[in-house]
Amino acid sequence: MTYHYNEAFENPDYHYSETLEIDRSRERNSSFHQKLPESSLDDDSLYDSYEGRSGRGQRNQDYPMAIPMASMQPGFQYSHSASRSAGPNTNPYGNPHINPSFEYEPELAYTSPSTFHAVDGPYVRRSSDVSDGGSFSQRYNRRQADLVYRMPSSLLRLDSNAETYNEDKYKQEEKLIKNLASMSSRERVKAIQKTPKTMKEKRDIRNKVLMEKTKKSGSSSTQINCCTHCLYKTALSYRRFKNGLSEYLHLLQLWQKTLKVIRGKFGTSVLSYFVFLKWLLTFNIFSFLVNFSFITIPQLIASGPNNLSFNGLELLTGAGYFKKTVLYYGFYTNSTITKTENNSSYNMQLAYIFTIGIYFIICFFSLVYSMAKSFCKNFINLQTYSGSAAKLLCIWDFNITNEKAVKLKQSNLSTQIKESLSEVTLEVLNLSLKQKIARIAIHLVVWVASLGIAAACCAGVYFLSRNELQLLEGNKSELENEAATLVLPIVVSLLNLLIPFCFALFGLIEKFQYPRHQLYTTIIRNVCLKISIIGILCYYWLNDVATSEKECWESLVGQEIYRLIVIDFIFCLLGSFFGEFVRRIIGTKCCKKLGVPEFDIARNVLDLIYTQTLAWIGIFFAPLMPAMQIISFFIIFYVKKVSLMRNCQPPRKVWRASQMTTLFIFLLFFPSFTGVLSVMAVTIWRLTPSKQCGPFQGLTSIIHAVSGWIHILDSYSSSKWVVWIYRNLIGSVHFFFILTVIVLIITYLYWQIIEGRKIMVRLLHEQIINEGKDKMFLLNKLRALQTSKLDPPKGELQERSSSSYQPSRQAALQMTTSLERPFERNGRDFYAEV
Amino acid sequence: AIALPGLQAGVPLASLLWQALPRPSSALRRWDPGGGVRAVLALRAPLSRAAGITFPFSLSQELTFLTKQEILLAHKRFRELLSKEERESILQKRVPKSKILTLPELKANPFRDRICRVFSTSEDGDGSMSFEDFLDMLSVFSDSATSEIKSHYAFRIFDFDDDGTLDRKDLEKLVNCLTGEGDETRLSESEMDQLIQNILEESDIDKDGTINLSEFQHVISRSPDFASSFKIVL
Repeated sequence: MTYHYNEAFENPDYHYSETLEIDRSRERNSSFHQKLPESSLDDDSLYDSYEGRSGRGQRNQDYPMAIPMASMQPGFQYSHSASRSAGPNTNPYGNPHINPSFEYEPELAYTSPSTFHAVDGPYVRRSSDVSDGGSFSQRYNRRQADLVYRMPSSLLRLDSNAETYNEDKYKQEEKLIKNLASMSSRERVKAIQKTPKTMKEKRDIRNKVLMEKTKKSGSSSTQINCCTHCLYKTALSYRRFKNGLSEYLHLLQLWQKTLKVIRGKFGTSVLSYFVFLKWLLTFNIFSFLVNFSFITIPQLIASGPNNLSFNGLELLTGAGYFKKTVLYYGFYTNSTITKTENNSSYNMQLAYIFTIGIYFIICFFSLVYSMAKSFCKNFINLQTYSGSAAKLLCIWDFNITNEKAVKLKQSNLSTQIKESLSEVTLEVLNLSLKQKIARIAIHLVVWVASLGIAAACCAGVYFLSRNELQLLEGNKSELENEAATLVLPIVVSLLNLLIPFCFALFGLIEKFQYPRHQLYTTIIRNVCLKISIIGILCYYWLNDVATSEKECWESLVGQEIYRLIVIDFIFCLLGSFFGEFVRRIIGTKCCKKLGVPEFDIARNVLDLIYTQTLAWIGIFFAPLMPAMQIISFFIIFYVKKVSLMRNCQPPRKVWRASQMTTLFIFLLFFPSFTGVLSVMAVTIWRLTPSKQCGPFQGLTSIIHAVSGWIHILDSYSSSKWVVWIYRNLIGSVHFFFILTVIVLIITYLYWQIIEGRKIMVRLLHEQIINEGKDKMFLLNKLRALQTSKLDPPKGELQERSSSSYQPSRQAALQMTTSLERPFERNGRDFYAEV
Repeated sequence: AIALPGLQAGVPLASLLWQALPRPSSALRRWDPGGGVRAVLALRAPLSRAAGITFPFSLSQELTFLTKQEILLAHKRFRELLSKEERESILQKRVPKSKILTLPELKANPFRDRICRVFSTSEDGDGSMSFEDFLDMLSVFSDSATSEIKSHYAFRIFDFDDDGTLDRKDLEKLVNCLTGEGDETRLSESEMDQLIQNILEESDIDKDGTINLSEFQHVISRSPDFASSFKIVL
C-alpha cells in the first residue's frame, strides 16, 4: 500500500526468502538462516500476510494516502519518512530493526571476508549479487503489481489516481536507482549519503543499485582478470592508507575537546574566535616550518659560537644575546654554505629571498581562497534577505549543551524577539528632518573625533620613535638603554588597549538604527586605529631606521617588532585579567548592575589580526618570528579559554558568526596582508641592505640577488628557460599589463553574468508567487468539488475505521502534495540558478 | 568491518574459526537441496558475532557522513547507555528515549523530544533508538553533512505534528521552545501572533499560510550560520 510497507520486501535481508514473513509471524525468534536461501516464491504467503494486516491498516489511512506523492521525488521524501514516526507503524512484519537474528546476515554471510576491509565493495559483492539480480527484478515487478491490487478498497474507491501514483513512485524509484547505478562509485556514495532516509532505507537503495550494476555488467565481469585484480588491490591498499592517515590526522587535531566544551557553553559565536585563533596558529606553524627548514637549519650548520652574555631582560627586549642568534636577519651569512667536498652548495641569499617570497605567495593564495570560499558561502544573496523574523527558524544553536547556557540563550532570545517586535512599531514613526540632521551631525562629529584620535596617536608614536633613536645615542649604561627601548612598545600597546574603550564610549552617544551598524562602525574605527599605528611604525622603520646608516638596521627593526609582539602579548594577558576577571569581581560583588562581562569577540579578533600583521612584517627581519607567534597564540588560547569559562557569559546579541568570520578574514587580507606585501616590496626593491651584516650585505638592493643569479644562469645553456621566464614574465611590464587587462575583462564578464542572474532570480521569485496563487485557486476548486462528490461514502468509511477519517481532507492533502511538486521543482531550479 | 575494542576477548580464535568455515558460492546456495550450506551459514552467524565482527563499519561509513572514529565513538557512547547484559547484542537493542536523553549532548536541548522522535524507527512511536538510528542522527548533525540534509531534518524536527508543513501551531511550539516555557520569557499572545505573522510573511513564498519544506530550505539557504549551528558532536 505504501512505500514504507513494501520497503521491507526490498530489503536485502528479505531478498533471499520471501517466505520469511510467515515464519516470522509464527515464531519471531526462530532461526532465520534455515530459511535463508529459499528461492521459490511463495506468493500465497505474501497475500495472506497482506490480508492479515489490512484490517489493522485502516486505522492509519490518513497518512499513507498522502505518502506516495511526496515520495515520488527522490529529493523530497519528507512525508513518506515522516510517517515512520507519525504513529503506529502498520507494518505487520515488525520493524526489521528489532529482529535480532538476521539483521546483518546478508552482509556477513554472503560476502567474502575481504569485504570487511573494503570500504565499498561492489567488486567483492559481485559474486554473490549476480546470482540474485535476475530474480530480484522479477520479484520487484511482481511486487509492484500486487501492491496496486492490494491497496485497501477504500483508497481505491477514493481516488483511482492512487494507482498511477504508486506506479509513478516505483518508476521514480527505479529511475533513481538507474541514475545511481550509472554514477561512479564515489558519486554514488555521496548521492546515497545525501538522501534523507534512515540507514536501513539507504542500505536498501545501495544494495539495489549494486545489483543493478552487476546486472548490467553481465556475467563476464564475474571473472576477474589479473589486471583488474591488481588495480583493485592497489585501490584497496590506497584506501586503507587513506583511512589510516585520516585516523592519525584526527588524533592531531588540536583542542578538539576544548572547542567542544566552549561550543557547548557559549555557542558558535564565541567559538568562531577560537577557531580563528587556531587557523592563525596553523598559518604560523606552517611558516615556522618553512623558515626553519630552509633558512635556519643551513645557517645553524655554518654558524659559529655565540659569546654574548644572557640576562633576563632580553626576553622582553629581544636585544643583547639574541642579536647574534638565528632569530634575526643580521646573523645570517651571505656566503654559500658548502659542507661536502663535491660541488653541492647552498646559496643563503637565494634561499632567504625565495623562502620568504614563496611563503608570502602561498599565504596570498590561501587567504584569497579562504576569503572567496567564505564570501561565496556567507554573502550569497544577502541583499534580498530583508527579514529577521524568518531567521528564527534557524536561530537555535544545537551545539549548546550546558543547561545553564540553554536557559540563558532562551531568555536572551526572548528579550531579543520582544525588542525586535517593539522596534518594528518604533520604526514606523518617521524621524523629523531636524532629528535626522541632528543624527547625521552626531555621526559626523564622532567620525571626525575618532579619526582625529587615531591621527593624534600616530603622530605621537612617530615622534616618540624618532626621539627614541636619539635616546639610544645618549651615553647611559647598557641595561638602561635596553629598558628604554621598551617605552615605545608599551605606549603603542597602551594606545591599542585604551583607545578602543574610547570608541566604545562614542557608541553611547551615537544612535544607530540597527545594532549591526554600530558593530561595523566600531570595527572600522578600531581597524583604522590599529592599521594606521602599524603604518606609521613601518614608515618610521623604512624611512628613518633604514636610512640612518646604523649597523644592521634590519636586525633593529626585527628587535622592535619582537618587542611590540611581546609587550602586546603581555597586555593581552593583562587585558583578560583586568577586563574580564576584575570586571567580573566588580560586577558580581560590588556593583551588581554591571553583571558578568560578555566576551567581546570583535575586539579580541582585531587584536589577533594586529599581532599577525606585525608577525608578517617581522618575518623578513626576524625569520623565526612565527615561533614566537606560535608560543604566544598557544598561551593566549589557554588564557582566553580559562578566562572565558570563569568570567564571561555568552554575548547577548545575535552574532552572525559566519558573516563576521568572513569580514575578519577579509580584514586580515585587505589592510593587513596587502599592507605587509607593500612593506616587503619596498624593502626588497627600494632599500639598500646594511653593509656589514645579513645575507644581502654589499648589494645595492635585495632584488639584485635574484638578478645576479639570473645573470649567472644565463651562461648555462640548460637553464635558459628560467632566464626566459624571468625576463619575459616576472621582470616584464608588458606581461603584467596584459594580465591585468585579462583579469579586468573576466571580472567585467562575471559582473554582467551576476546582473543577469539577479534579474532571473527576480523573475523566478515572481513565478513562484504566481504558482502559489494558482495552487490555492485549484485547491479551493477541488475542495468544493470533493465535498459535493464524496459526501455519501463518508459515513460508510467511518463505520469501518474508528479514527476520524475524512476523505475530502485526505484527497485535498493528496492534491496539495501533488500540486506542490511543480512548485518544489521550481524551487529547486531556483536554487540551482542562484 | 573491524573488531571493536570492547569486544576483543576471544577474537583471534573466533575469527580464525570464522574464516576457516567454508563459504558457499552463490550457485551452491541456490541449489543446495539438503540444506547443508544453510546449516553452515547458521553456524557462521553467531561466530562472527563472537569475533566482534558485528557491525559492517565500511557500510555505515558509506551510508552516513561519519568517519570511522566518529562511528567508533558513537558505538562506545551507545554501549554505555546499555546495561551490562545488553551490551552483547548492541545492534539489536533499542535504547528507550529516557535513556537517550541522559546524554549530555541532548539533555538540555529544548528540541530533544523531537529529535528522538524524528530519528527513531520504533514502530510504536516511543522515541526509542537503535544503534542505527543513533548513527543516523549523528550523521545528520555531523560536520560533514550537507546543509541540504540538515535543513531537511531541521524541518522535520520543527514539524511538531508531523504533517509535512509548518503551520501556525508548529511555529508557536517552535517559538516556545526557543524562548523557554518560563513565565517571564514566554511571549504574550499578541506578541506571538505578531511574530508568527512576521515569520509567515517573510518565508511563506506561495502564501498558503504554512511553510513547506522548500520554503523552509529557502530561508535556511540564506542563513549561512545554520550549518554550523545545527550540529551535535559527541
